[in-house]
Amino acid sequence: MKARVLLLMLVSAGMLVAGLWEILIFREFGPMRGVFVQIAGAAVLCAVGTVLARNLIHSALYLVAFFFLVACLFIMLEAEFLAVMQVLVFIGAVAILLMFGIMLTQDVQGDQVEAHSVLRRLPAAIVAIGLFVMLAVAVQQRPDFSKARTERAAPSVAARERVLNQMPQELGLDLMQRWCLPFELVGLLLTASLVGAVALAQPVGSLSAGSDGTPSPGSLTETPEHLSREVAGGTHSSSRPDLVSP
Amino acid sequence: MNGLWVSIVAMKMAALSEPVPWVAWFLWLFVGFAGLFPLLVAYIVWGERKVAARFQDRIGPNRVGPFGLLQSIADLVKLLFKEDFTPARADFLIHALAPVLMLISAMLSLAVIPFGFGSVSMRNDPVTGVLRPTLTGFSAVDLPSGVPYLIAVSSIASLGLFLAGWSSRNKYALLGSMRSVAQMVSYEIPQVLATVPIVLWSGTLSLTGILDRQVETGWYVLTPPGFMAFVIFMISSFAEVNRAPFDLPEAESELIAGFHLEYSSMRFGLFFLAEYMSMFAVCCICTTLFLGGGAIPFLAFPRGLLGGYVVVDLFLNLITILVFSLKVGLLIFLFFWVRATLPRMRVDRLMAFAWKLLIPLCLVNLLIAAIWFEIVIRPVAGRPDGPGFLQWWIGFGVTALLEVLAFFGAVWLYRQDSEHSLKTWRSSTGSKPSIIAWRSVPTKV
Repeated sequence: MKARVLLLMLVSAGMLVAGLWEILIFREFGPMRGVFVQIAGAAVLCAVGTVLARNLIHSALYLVAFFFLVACLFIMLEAEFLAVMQVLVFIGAVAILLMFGIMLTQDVQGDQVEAHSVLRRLPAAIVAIGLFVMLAVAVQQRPDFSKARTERAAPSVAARERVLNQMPQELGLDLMQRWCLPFELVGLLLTASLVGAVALAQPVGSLSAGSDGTPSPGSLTETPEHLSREVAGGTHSSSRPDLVSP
Repeated sequence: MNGLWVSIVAMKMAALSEPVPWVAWFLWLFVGFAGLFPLLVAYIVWGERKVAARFQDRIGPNRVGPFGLLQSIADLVKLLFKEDFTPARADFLIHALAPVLMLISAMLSLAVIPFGFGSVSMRNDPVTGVLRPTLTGFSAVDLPSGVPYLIAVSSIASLGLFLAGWSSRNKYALLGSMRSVAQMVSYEIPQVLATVPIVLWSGTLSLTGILDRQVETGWYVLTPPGFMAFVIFMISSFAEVNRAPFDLPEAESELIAGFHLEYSSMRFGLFFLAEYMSMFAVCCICTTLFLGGGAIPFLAFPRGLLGGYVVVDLFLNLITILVFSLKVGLLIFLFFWVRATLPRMRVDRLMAFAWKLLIPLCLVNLLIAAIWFEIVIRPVAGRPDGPGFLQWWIGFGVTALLEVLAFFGAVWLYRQDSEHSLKTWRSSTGSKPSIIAWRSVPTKV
């Protein structure tokens, strides 16, 4: 409990410093800046909540809120399509899959989380800090970050309008032309994981024991073995000897 | 003289149609989303009770007000005054949050729907890039990426549904929400895939853009691939909004009430509101995507206005909103009709139907839609008079033939598969299963 309070105080202090830094260095006090600081602050709090929550579902919910706030940040950057995709992929798919994962475990309510030892937390902390440092360095090294914002060349109105109104189109063309190879590679990776998931979800023995040579109907409907077992346990218990599969 | 008068009216109307932004926001928020839509939903409930009563040879609500018109209001008052009960071990915050999430999801999807035609402005064509007169659409927001937005916000509903079941700490509620999440995730795929042909044909993701395209080239439901997409979209929408015959999440015979078992008072009312509002939203989306929004059938009325004076924005909007609501009303009646007619599906069949019939059919339909695009739409892109008569009929013949083949092929494969599993089941039990035994097999949730 103490560690959590300490971490929360640390984060709040960090946010305060960051806010002051924003105001003092950039000297921009517009209302949008205030909105940005609020959204970003809430996002950081949600991220901390994800790590600190005791209940798995609460943790997942904090994560959902965090994703949503990131989508809000995208909207502030006028990347509306990206925001929509953020909600679609991370809330509509990833969060739901997380919930599914929790539901399929033994502890459906998700409130028996054992505390991990420091030895298991240490590598995670190292990875997190390393990732943070890497991102910070990468962002700092962008040529247009170091310039003052006013010095950057503003895009022409027509170009801006085209990109804003047809972001999916521009994005699609970019993906299929400039980034074609990475795009296809990611597709291959996803296909491989899909095949792997299907292989994992097959009932044990149905891959090798398909005596009639037909593919198993898959895991989404009841497999014949499963059906017969259920019936054997239930209504047709008298005919049980016939049900023993070879 | 007449011309002068017309131009004066046009200027006044232009000033009227672009009021101060916050007035428009205020009107949309408080008159539309907080006032009109919930009221509409209350009367959709009343309509459903009346229609269901007629289907079952009853009279339906007729005590409160003329024709029972005040019944919904009375129900609302009753719900407001009932005890708001939360189970002792429930997760209070999440328990309160879940119905709100579902309602928000339904309301958010109403935000981008163009209920009327709005006015006409010169914009760049998304396909050819030529400047031409386009409809602005009478919607709260006109998002350039409206279709993915709709998918994104409707996926929030499944989160709310899951949280409702989970936070109640009730076995049946949890079972209901597990079922429902599986169902909604499965049926989301055919629903989304059915909208892809529309996006392909109109070259834009904005709902107003899609509406504008349909006014120009004809309703998408009147093309064979469009019709198939419409049917698939409607079927998966039934499952998405948990209506009969796909209302398994709340199957009262098995799960008592499913995910909203532990809800009472107005929180249950919120679920009720969310369900009917999402039904309304889905009908609006379907009308916009497939049925040409507010366009009048067999009449060139809006197209005639597009070229000349659009003096009467208000008039145009009134007519198109009326036509739009008529179409939405017909679709809602379809929902009532199906609910009064069809029994509930079994869980495993529900899943098999989505994954083994609808999704393959959707994928094949996408290919056929591409053929339609190549034959009918692409050759005339940029021409103002739309596709020619001969071209349209060639496209119609080819794609209709392919659609029929695809449909019967998919159904044949689906039958083969289910017969195969029945046969293996028979051979493993060694006896002919009676229909009762087959039905009473406990299904794994």
